[in-house]
Amino acid sequence: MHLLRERYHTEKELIEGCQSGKRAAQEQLYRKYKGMLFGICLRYAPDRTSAEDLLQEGFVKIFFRISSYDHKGSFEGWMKRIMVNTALDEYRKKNRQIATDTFTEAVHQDLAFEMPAEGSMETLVQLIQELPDGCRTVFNLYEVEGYAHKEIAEMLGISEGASRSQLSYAKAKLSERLKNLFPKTYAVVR
Amino acid sequence: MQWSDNHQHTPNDGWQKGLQSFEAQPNDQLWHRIETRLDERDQYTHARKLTVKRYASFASIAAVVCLLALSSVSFWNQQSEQSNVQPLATNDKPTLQTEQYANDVPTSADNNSTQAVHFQPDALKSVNPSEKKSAEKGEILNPIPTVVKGSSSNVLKAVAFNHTPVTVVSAPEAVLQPSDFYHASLVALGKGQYCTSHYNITMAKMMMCNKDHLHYEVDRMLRVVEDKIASHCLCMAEEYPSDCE
Repeated sequence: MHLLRERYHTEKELIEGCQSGKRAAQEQLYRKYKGMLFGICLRYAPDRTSAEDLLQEGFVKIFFRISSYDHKGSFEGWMKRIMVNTALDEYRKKNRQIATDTFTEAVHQDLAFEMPAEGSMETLVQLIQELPDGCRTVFNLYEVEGYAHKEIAEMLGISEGASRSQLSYAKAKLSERLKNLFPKTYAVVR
Repeated sequence: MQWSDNHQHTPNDGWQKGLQSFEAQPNDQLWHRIETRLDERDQYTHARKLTVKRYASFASIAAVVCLLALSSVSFWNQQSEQSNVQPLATNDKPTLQTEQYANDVPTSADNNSTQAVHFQPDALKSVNPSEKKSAEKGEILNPIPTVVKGSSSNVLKAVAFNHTPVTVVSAPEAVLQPSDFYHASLVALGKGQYCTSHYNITMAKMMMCNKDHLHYEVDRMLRVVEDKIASHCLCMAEEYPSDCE
């Protein structure tokens, strides 16, 4: 357990401390939000080590850019956006091009799946990490962040059709894995 | 099946909300890695600020040095220009060559170095600067013509014609007017090429200076005029500006 005495009692003080470059403020901010932001990184990264690299890179960007935060809007939302964008930047570096013709039209089905009761979020995140990079990214952007396919296509430089295909494949893959893990309670296609 | 979800949607399913609020703990050493990156950035920023400060100081010093150099060059240029017109503060008393005048016209010279020159404007109709004899009057032009009060235009014509130095002579009581030299230099520069205001300033300053040095100053000024004549090859003695007549 880290015995860091909290010097900054309000979010405003904490942000201003970080904007002043105070190392104590930066550390306090890190310890306060690392759990939430690491959860984001785990969803976008293929494994834990990559997720920690993402978290490190994301926090560095947060501290470099915090002077531009104008206290308008949610600070958590601001940090989450930076973390997601960091993940997308990393994805773009690794994958210059997503294959757009990987999936046939038949895969374009509005698949839905339900999480079995005995399943945990940790299990689901691990399954998400097993997805291919493109599918995982589209799945996160659509199902968790709530972006539309048109926006995702613009962000990733792909077509809308490719975005839909990737999402469909991701759902199908997740359903298949969940069915294998929880054969008795998992319901797949509607 | 129609795809109609081209608008942003809100994830409402339980597992979606679960993923949104999902948290996990990273490695304990991660903060130290972040801290190291921040330290590197702080050092870089500090070094860059120091470099900028150094360059700014160097640029300021260089600018000041350049400004001083330019100022000194400009100052010395002005000094050298003014030295041509500034009256010299010397203790030497130049010898004034005196003449006796009658009706403001030189008669004879009892000075062994100068002779009064008397010639008519018509005598200078020749354009050949090497001619020593007046074509019409038969007057022989003295190789060292002199300027006499009231007849400056005559003598300066001689200067134009002979390209010889001119000695200014004045009666002790005479007071040379700036206009005398102004007209003289107008004439000397010849056809359409009037003297500049430099000479006007020269005249005014000369009037203000000690009259004992007047001879020296005028002589020097007229040498300048002579150089101008030589450089412009002015020999058209009859083509003087009308206001000099």
